[in-house]
Amino acid sequence: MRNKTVLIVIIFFISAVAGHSAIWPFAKKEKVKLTEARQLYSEKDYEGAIAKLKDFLVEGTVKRREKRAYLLLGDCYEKLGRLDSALNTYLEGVELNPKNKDLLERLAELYDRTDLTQNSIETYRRILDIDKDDENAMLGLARGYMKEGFFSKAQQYYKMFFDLKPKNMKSYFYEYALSYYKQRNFNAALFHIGLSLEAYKDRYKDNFLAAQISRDMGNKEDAAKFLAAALAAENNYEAVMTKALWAVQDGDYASALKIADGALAGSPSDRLALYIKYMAYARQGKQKEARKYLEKITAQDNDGFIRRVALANLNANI
Amino acid sequence: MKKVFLIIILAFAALPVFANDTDKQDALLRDFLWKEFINTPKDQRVKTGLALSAGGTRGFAHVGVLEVLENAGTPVDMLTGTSMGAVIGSGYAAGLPVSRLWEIGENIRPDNVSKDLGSTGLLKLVIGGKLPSSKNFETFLEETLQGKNIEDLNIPFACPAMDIKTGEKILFTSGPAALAVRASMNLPGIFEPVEYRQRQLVDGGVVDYLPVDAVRNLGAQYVIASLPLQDYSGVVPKTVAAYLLRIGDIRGAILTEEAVAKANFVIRIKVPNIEVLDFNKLPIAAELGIRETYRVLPMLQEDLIIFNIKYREHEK
Repeated sequence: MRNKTVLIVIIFFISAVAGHSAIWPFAKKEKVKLTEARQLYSEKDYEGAIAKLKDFLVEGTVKRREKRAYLLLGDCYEKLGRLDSALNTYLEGVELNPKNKDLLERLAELYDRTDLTQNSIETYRRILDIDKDDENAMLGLARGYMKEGFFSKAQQYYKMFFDLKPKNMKSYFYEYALSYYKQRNFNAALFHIGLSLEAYKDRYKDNFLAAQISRDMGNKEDAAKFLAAALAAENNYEAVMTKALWAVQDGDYASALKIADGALAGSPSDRLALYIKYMAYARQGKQKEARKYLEKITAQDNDGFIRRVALANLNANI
Repeated sequence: MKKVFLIIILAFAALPVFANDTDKQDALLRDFLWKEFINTPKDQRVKTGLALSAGGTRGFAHVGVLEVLENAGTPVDMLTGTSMGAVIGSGYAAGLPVSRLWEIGENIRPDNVSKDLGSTGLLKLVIGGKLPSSKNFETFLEETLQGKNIEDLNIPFACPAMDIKTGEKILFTSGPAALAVRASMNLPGIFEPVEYRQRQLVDGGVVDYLPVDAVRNLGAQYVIASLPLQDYSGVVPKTVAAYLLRIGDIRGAILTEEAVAKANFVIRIKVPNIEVLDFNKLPIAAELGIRETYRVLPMLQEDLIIFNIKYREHEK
């Protein structure tokens, strides 16, 4: 009995060694291809790397390396802007390695970047099914739901992420504040943008959001202060024109006209600036002057909102 | 003075490409005019009504629609709903927060609707020839709507049902809200008719799938209609009841053409592969409602802003 067992073990051992020896030269050859692909990638020769990787994946026998090869191949395609090929690569990789988080993550990120938000959400959900504490998936889901307009759900995932990574919270307070602002929950939005401003007090987007929240809460003074800070951080068209629109609303027509004139000097067909001028004159009761700007907008060749709203005002016989 | 102007021009010259991005310019003005619109006193702006269609489980997409509209601050001055639309609409009109409507969708079970949907119900049907009763649902609604009458709800509300004896449409604009809503979603052939004032009432989806006229009658000048559309590709009904429900559903939806034409803005939500009584999929339907409504929200806002300009001029 004992001899028999020893014999089986010996046979098993010999066959395993023989098998490995048979595969080994190929495996080594394949490994060289992957190494060469990596080298080409680091030299930014993405086409060369793609050729090697495709070769490797077609002929490859070393299964465990496939995941890395798919990741690298997808990355090469992404670097070349061939996003369709990158997507197909990750999809194929995921099909062969359905539980590989790295591949799923790349796939989810690419879905997100190509505005396939629903696919991205589903893929991030798959990652959370594999690892319920995956912080990238939580953040990906939060951002995906923000894009879809499902802010209450986005907040759930932000909260999960914050619970898991409390030290990273400050980097995401802006997004979190935005989710509340989009729900018109101004108190929560102001609280969280305040926290974000503690870390990024000179950042444009935080100051601009704080300005919008304050304005919507009726605090015009703070809104002006934050808007000035946003403009100091970045001379952004959005903030400049918001200043003009608020000036119209506050009856400060001189300031609104000055800003609009500045915009029109740089771009004479700027429809928003023209509409601001229309509003500034119309709200002062200067209908004849106002009408002139509506006519300028409606004469333009496009069918955007500003032209349509100008046309409605024109037809309404201001 | 000239110096200041020069500085402004120079500042604009240094602005990013955004200055020529017409979509962003449109978005800036839309956002501004929208906020002005929603902050305008009710008596100085167009009255906006919401009509929520029937559609069984699929109709839960209305919750998503309401969430997006509420987030945007859209005024809902009056509200009508048929069948599932009546359930969601009455809850919203009663002042339930959207989050509570979500909870209802996540927790509702068939026995909240009827105690006879299981094997005992089948036995009653076979032996006694008696359809299950939806009385349980009325009790559930009584609690949810706090026993209110329709006329006591926070937002003016109406819901249609049909008298199975005469084929007449019965529009509830007053009276016990729970009973009216139960009648409005009392699926014919599935539940026994609801008896009310000598009438035998069944689901309003048969006669008024999308109650646009009803919301206009309540005073709406601008009507937003929410219409979850069926997409049955791939799902074959497995029971006689499922066949009947689907036929009723398809027929009702075909009859919406006229109502759709009378609405100012229709939110069409494609809800695939969800059967009329597929309770487990309620949250999926609501999520689809959110996605589609958020996608079309800028168009709705623009349309409403422009409509309001015309309306104000008309009122002068």
